[in-house]
Amino acid sequence: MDTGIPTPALTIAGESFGSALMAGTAGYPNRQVMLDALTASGAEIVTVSIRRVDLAGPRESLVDLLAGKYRLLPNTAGCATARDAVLTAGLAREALETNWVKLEVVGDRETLYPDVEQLLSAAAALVGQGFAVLAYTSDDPITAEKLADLGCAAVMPLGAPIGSGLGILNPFNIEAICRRLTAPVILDAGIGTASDAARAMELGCSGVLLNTAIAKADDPVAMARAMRLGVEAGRTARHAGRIPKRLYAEASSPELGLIGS
Amino acid sequence: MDIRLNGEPYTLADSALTDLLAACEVDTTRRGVAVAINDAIVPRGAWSSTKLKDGDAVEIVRPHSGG
Repeated sequence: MDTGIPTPALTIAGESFGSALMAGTAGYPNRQVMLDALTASGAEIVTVSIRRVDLAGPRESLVDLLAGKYRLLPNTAGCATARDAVLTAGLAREALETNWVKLEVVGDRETLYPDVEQLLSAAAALVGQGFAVLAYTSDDPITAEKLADLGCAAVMPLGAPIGSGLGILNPFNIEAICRRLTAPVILDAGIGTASDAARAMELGCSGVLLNTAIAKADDPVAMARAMRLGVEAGRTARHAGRIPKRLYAEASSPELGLIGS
Repeated sequence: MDIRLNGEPYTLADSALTDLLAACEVDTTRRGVAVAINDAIVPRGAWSSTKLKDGDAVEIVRPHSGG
């Protein structure tokens, strides 16, 4: 059956993917649950961080577990300056042989909000070095547009603070960002449950990136499946074209032929 | 020779970067590890010819779980 829904589900930097959902790899109860949840999510892109090796001894390599099955997207999580983010991205490129990076430069430990000034500076440097930059940013349309203009491969506004599960706090801004940008917009951070993921897609996002909502759910594998369905439902609804909102009722049953008339 | 390794003081017997990587149990034949010395990335191809100097700040990193 031709669903009329465009494929591929997501294209970033000229690469196509069958799923618009990207998933993180942190915070699962254990490795097996993570692997099962990633499978259930249908995600083809998964994020990893870059950290110092544990000198107390080697651990099972995440690369061995995931490479070949997923496109690994390294992040610069935890970096507070453009300088650290650019170095981390360079190390990630070397370690994973990828020029893709999820650029994160946070200004504050409590909110984990992006430091927009440092973010723009790092994005410019990394685009100049040939990176495909997927930039985690606030839900400010102006910053989103600046990131796109710098040549970022994707712009990733937050729905709500990282790990908060508050959903999409400013859907009007997310919609405005999606409307104004030609670059893919990926809703990153804040998703709490499947309806949030669906909403992001309905607002016009090209994809959704989430981690905690799956990893910390009571049943991460079931939630991963719910997120996959949520993203698919939202994407399908977006393309189906929703009805306009009305302030008053409009009968759906015919008015003609009513008995007693 | 004294260096800083991943932010901690570390004493080396030999100046070869590959010896340090071996001491850290890094399998240099597989991808998944990156090295920077004094904030400059050392490409994998240059590891075998790289010598460390007293006071160098060495970072050895690998992918970890992340969101």
